[in-house]
Amino acid sequence: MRKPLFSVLSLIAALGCGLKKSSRPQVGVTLLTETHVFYQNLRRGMQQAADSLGLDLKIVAGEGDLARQTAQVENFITQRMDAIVIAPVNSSGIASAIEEANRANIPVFTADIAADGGAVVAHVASDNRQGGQLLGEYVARRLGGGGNVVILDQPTVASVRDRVSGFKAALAAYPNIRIVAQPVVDLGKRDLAKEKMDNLLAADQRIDAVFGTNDECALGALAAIQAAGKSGVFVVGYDATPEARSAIARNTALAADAVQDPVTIGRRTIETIVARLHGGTVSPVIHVPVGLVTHDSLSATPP
Amino acid sequence: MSASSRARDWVARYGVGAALAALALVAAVFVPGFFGLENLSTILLHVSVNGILALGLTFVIVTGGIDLSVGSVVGLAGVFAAAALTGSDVLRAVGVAGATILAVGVALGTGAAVGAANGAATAGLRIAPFIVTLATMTIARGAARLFTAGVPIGFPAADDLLFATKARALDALHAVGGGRIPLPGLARGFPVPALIMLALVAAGAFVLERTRFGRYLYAVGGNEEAARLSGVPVAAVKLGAYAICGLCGGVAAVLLTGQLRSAGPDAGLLYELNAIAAAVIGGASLLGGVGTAWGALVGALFIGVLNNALDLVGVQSFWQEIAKGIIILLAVLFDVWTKRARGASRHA
Repeated sequence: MRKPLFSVLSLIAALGCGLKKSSRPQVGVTLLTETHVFYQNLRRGMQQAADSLGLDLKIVAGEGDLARQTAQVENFITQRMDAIVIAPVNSSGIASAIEEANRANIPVFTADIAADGGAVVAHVASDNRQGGQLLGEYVARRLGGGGNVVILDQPTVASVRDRVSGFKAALAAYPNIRIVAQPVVDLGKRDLAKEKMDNLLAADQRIDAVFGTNDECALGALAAIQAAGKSGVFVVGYDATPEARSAIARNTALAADAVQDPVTIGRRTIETIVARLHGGTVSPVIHVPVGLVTHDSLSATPP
Repeated sequence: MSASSRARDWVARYGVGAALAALALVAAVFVPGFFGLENLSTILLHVSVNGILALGLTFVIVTGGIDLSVGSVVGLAGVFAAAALTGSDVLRAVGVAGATILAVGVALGTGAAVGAANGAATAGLRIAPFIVTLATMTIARGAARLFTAGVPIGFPAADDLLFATKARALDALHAVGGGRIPLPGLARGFPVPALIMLALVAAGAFVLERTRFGRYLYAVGGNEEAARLSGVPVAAVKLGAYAICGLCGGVAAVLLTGQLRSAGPDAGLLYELNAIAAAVIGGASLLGGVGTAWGALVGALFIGVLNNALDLVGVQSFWQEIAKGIIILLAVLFDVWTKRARGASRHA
C-alpha cells in the first residue's frame, strides 16, 4: 500500500533531476498563469535568452491566485535568488511581496503587467496603448468613419486599460463612430465573452464592430456572431494566438488582431536582468512594439 | 491481535506523519537549504491559511457534514474587513488602532455569521450541507464582487485625503498577517500567521479531545440517531461546528488581507477544496466521526511542503496539480484500507 506513495515521490524526484543548484546566477520567475499561449511564449523567450546568456531560471506561476504568487516570491527570497521576475496576478496586491524582496535587496523586474507599488528595477512590456491605437485606426478605416462599436473590457487588468485607452483615442477622431456597449468580461474568459455578445446581438441595437481585449474575448464574440448567423459585424482581437490567426486566415468575422511579441518580451526581460547584474544602468520601462495581423498580412507571409 | 494488524494500526495512526517526513526528506535532496529554519518558517507561513481552514473544516467533517463556502467566506470577510480598515469615516472616528480592531471584528463576525447560517440551515431545516454550503459559497462570492464592484480594496488613490492614515491602517493589519516575531537564528523572524495557526490547532485539539462539545461532535458524526437518543443536542452541536468553521474562514481572511495589504473579491477562490484535501489527507473521514486537529495541520503541511518543494525545483504548476490529486487519492485509499483492516481484526 505504501508503494504507490513512493512511486509518487520518485516521480517528483525524477522531475527534479538536472535542476540542481549551480554557480550561475539564479533567477526566480513567477508568471500570472501557464495556461495561456501568451505566457507559454513569454516563458520560451526567457528560457532561450537565459540559456544563451548563462542564467538559471526557476519558472512557476500563480495561476491567478495572488496569495500563491506572493508565496512563490517569498520562496525566491528564502532561496536568495539573484533576481526575481514577476508577471503580477494583481497589480496592486503584489506590492507587499515586492517590498519584501526590496528589503532582502533582491532586484525585482516585472514583465507584461506592471506593479502598483514596491521598487521595480525595470518593467518590460508591450506598448499596449500603441496596440490599441493600431486596432482603433484599423476599425475606423474599415467602418469608413461611422458605425457602432462594442468593447469587451477587462478594467481590472492594467494592460487592458492601456489597450482600451489607445483604442478609444484612435476612435476619438471620428465623431460618427460610437461605442455603444462596453461590458466587463471576468478574467477575459471565452465562454463569458460569448454570453455577453449573445445578449448584445439579441438586443435591437445595430453593431458593426467588436473589440475583444484579448483573443479569448475576440473568439468568444466570433462564436456568438457565428451562432447568431449575423453578417456585417467584424471583430478585432488582441494577441494573435494560433486559433485567432487561423480564424483570420479563414475569412471569418475576426478581421484583425494586434500581435504582441511575448518571445521578445521574455528575451528582453532576461537581457535587462543580465545588464543589471553586470552593474549597468537599465531603463525603468522597456516597451516592445505591437504589430497588426490581418487576412492580407497572413497570406503575404505564410507561417 | 496479530503482528500484522498491529503494524496496520501503527500505520493508520502515524502513516500520514511518516509520509510527510519522507516527502520532506525527498524535498531536501533536491532543494538546497530545504531544512533551513528560514525555509521551514516560510512553509509554515504559506500553510497557515489552509491549515486554519482545514482545522475549521475538520469540525464540520467530524459531524459528517461538509462546508464548501469557506473559500468564499475568506473573500467576503476580507473585503468587509478591508473596507472597515480603510473607510474614511471609520478612520476619522476611531483612528488607526480602532479601525484595525474593528476590521478584525468584522472579519471574524462575518465568518461566524455565515457559518452559523450554514449550521442553522443544515441542522434546523435538515437540508444537505453540500447544497446549503454550495448556495452560501455562491452567495458570499457574489456579495463580495457586488460590494467591491470587482475591484480589490487596498492602497487608496494617491490623491486620497487620508492616504497616509489609510496606508498606516493597512500596515497595522499587515503586522498581523505579514508580521514577524524576532527569533534567534531566524534573520527575518518567525511569521505571526504561523504562530496563530499553531495556537488555533492546539486550541482545536483541546476542544475536540477534552471537552464535552468535542465528544458530542464525534457522537453526531458517528451515529446521529444514536447521539440524539442518548441526549446529545444534535442541532446545537452542528450549529457550533459550522460557526467554528466560518470563524476560521474569518481568521484566514484577516491573515490574507493583512499579508497582502489588499482584499480582492476573488481572494480565497477554491480554497475550500484545498482545505478539504488537507483535512482528508490528515485522516478526517467524509463519512463523519473521524478526524483530528493535528491531522488537519499535518494534511495542510503535506500540501504545503509539496507546493514549496515543487516551486523551488521549478516544476510546472500543472504537474503540481497532478501530484496533489494523486496524493488525495492515495490518502482516501489509505483511509479505506486501514478501516477495512480494523473491521477485519474486529471480526477475527
